[in-house]
Amino acid sequence: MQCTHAEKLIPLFAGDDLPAREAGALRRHLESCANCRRLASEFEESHDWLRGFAAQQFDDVVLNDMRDSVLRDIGRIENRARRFQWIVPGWNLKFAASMAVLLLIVFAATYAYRGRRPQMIPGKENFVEINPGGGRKYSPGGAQGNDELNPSPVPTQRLAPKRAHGINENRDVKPVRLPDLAVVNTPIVPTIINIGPVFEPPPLGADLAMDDAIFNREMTRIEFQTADPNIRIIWLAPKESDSSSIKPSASAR
Amino acid sequence: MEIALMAEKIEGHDESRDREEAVATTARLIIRAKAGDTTAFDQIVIGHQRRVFSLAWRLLGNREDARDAAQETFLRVYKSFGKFDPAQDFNGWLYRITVNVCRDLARKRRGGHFSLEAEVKSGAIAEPASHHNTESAAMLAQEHAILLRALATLPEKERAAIVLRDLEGLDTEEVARILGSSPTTVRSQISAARVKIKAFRDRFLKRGAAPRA
Repeated sequence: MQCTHAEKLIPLFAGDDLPAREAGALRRHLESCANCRRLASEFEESHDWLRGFAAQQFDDVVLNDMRDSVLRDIGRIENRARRFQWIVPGWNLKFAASMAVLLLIVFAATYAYRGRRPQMIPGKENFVEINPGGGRKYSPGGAQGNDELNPSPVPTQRLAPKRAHGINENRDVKPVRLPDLAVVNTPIVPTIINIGPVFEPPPLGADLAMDDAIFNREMTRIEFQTADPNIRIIWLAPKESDSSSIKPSASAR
Repeated sequence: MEIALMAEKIEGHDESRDREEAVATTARLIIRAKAGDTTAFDQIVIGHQRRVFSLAWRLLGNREDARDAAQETFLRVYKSFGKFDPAQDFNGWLYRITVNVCRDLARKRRGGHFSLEAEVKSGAIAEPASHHNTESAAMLAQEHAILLRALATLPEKERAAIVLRDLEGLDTEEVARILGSSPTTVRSQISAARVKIKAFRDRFLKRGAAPRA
């Protein structure tokens, strides 16, 4: 064994902490090396000096004072536990606190989810739905006594036959005939009234729904589908005008 | 010779029987304390407070901190009784808690220093009984100061290892269990601690003066 290796083992050898094999090898080295033997002797002396310090003797007053503090703290812990026992009987306080936190998280998540409502597109509330038949929902007019705010559905348009029998044999001329009216929901009996020149409804502005609402309130509008599916007759009349002076004025569109 | 050997055997037998009885008594007290009997817990404190106090004092170096550490140790023991199995080694468990409490306290109060005068004034270290023993008592106090100062210079883990091994007399495996390390690591820490303590002692005892408080 080299002295450098022996010097590392000597501190443990002095306290009898070396495994038996290493202790034996070191002992053999110490027999032949005076320096290492002197070093081992110094370490043993230091170790004995250290071990010579017995457990410190403390004053009983100090110890009793410490014990009283411990018992006082334990009493406080017991009282606190009893108080919480009244609030949360038989439950572990930590468990109760964890459940409270969990409920808080669930509540917060539910509140956040409910707060997120689907956003409405502006103006869509009043959007007048156009039915597949091409007509618009409208209010038929005050003469009929219908509710202006609850427009009846427009009469559905039936696909007119391509050829009207016995009326016109000329294929180029598309026959126009009086309405083959099919009322689906509400019977609408159009009154024959004189109307002024047909005019186009006001150009559609940004707010289509508002325009339609205003227009429907001001005019009576009756639509007829001719035999030709591409031709439709629209009768328009101001609502407040005298019905006797208004004549139906058909126009092809 | 044979009689001496027999006497030694009987003594050893008596000692081990005493130890077994002490362990059984502690186990009974622990079971009662776990059931909520504070009188039993008080008995446990009385039976172990000196050891805990002494260990804390050696680890921390002053009486006030040692008192706080001992108080905290017994409070933690009380709170953790529910998890403790009476079949386990109570002393080892108590040591472990004491070492952890002292480590936590030392970290909180870094920079604490040891004062021998303060310790004698506070009564933690008894003054010399009579003038006949004054000189030897003074020397003992001086050496005690050197020891505590030497311990204070050690890193936390080395200090805990050397105090448990050389001052408390526990074996390396038990020290390793208490510190949560391997026996090899503990041996390495003990070796380093002994080298430093020897160097410190040689410096002050060869000079012939005690370290300043």
